[in-house]
Amino acid sequence: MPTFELDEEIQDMQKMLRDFATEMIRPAYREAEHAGETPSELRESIKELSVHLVDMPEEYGGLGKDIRSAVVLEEELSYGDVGITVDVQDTSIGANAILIFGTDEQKTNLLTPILESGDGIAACFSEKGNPVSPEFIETTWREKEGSYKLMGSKTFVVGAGRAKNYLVLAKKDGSNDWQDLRLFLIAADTPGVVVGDRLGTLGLETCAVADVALMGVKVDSSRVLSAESSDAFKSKLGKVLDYARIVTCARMVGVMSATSDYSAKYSTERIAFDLPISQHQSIAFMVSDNATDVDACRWMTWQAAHEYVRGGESTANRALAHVVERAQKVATDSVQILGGHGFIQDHPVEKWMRDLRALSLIPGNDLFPEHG
Amino acid sequence: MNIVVCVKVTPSTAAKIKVGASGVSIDKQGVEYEINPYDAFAIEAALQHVEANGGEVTLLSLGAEGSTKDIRNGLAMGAVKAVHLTDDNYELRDSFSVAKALADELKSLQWDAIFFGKQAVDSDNYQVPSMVSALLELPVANVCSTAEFRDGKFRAIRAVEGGTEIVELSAKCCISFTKGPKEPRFPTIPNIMKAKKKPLDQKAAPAVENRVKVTKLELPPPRPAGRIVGEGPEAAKELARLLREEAKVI
Repeated sequence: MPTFELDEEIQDMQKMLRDFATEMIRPAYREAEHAGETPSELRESIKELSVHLVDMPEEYGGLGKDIRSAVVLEEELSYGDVGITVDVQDTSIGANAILIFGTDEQKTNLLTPILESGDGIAACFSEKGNPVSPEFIETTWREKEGSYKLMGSKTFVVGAGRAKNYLVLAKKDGSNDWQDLRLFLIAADTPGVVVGDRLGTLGLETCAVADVALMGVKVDSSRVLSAESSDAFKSKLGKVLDYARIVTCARMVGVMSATSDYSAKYSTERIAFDLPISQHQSIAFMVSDNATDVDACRWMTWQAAHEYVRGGESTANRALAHVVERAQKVATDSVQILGGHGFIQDHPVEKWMRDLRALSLIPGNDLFPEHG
Repeated sequence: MNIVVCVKVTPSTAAKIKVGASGVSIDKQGVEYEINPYDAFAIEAALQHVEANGGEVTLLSLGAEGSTKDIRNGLAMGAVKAVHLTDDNYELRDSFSVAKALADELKSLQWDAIFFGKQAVDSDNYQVPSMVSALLELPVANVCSTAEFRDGKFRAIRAVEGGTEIVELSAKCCISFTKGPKEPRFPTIPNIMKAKKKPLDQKAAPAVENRVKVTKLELPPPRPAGRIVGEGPEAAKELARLLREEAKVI
């Protein structure tokens, strides 16, 4: 029987995070954006909440729930500010990759300490904005006596220079076979990892984005993730990317909800022609369309999360495609509702518009291959 | 040091309050509840004490059966167990009736000190901490912002007109807290999950006869619209006159 009712425990978490987002994250969004990073005290407070543990298995130090809980919590954090959320919530997408690809031994040895410390893992998949597929990957590995050596360069890495680890996708030198793809979990301070200059971005200025070069980086075989066949690699990578897409959807819904609420409230307070502007039809339509879009996008996200857990046909792409499209509408209409106030930085709606555009373009979201 | 924190679950401070049909209590329809904000400061102070000095924090609450959910938020902050004295008509009890029920229960609990919020934001009586201390024959310090524990004694700090007052109390005491330097912590996600499994002992609150009867609740009259007196220096003179003669505030 379909249900949208969250259990009491998730509701408690949701409520706590909504309070945290509005009382702690929201007041810091502009300072963080201008500084280009989350204030360190706030970063620690968010890490301490341990949202990243919610959907990880208990045997590795997680809380044993699944992505259906994670999407609810990611939305709430993003309601406060998504720049800060993406900047600080940098563990779970990489951790999930270890969970999917790792052997039992790797999960114990690699995943457990990362979950415990909450250290970030920056995903280095894309190159030059190309699809994630062997023929477009130029980063290569060579193996010698159980040790691997990586050469290449990854572009637009979110969290570059800030995350404690990188998860790098590379192919075997000279092979375009999916089975020869590997994921390498590399500590950020490994010799040969070179982070390029920070790139200016359209939105999400709180996050560090840069290229990462791998100049003969040596990686021990214990930190190399692989699959038993081409199909298995494709399917597992698809699952990793689906997870990232669904979490991105949840974050976008959080921002959509924030900007929709903010502009709706503004429309009841701003008077024009002797009436609150919400009483004028052209504004009222935008306000109600925004609220409808937020609901629809949230439900598609939840459904994609449900299918992810169930192992049915993935709907992550569909959800992302819809959320990306409606997000732009909600974002620009919210700016429009604020009119002249919409484009000045006294209000957050202009930032959320840029953030939503950036989220829809974070490398990979629209670049990943079909799978399954 | 084991500390019992007495907490009340009160309507959220953001709730819009309406008087109920009885005329002596509020209409609970659609009202969200939470741990009384001053009690949250007391929980935070207690948690800091046990983190520094060892021991554990127990919550004691008298309230409606349905408020268990909100008491668990206090457990999620870090208290290890709770005792919930249930009474669905708790809001009809006067301060003495609440204090007597709490004090009787406290006699059967293990504790070194008892913390409270300085007032409950619903009834605003400020009386329970003093009454409990009197019933248990303990010293009390009220409206404290912090209380340090040193050399077997508490040093509580109170903001008074134009300065601060430092009160020293023996370890076995009652202290009520106001807003302190540290905001109450947000529970972490793992602690929210752990809170579900922490012991919460629920039992009917003993009946204690009221000594004060609330006869009527009324909402304050709506505030009249503001008035623009005029502009420039002339208006300042008129404004000062009105503030003195009409509003009688200067």
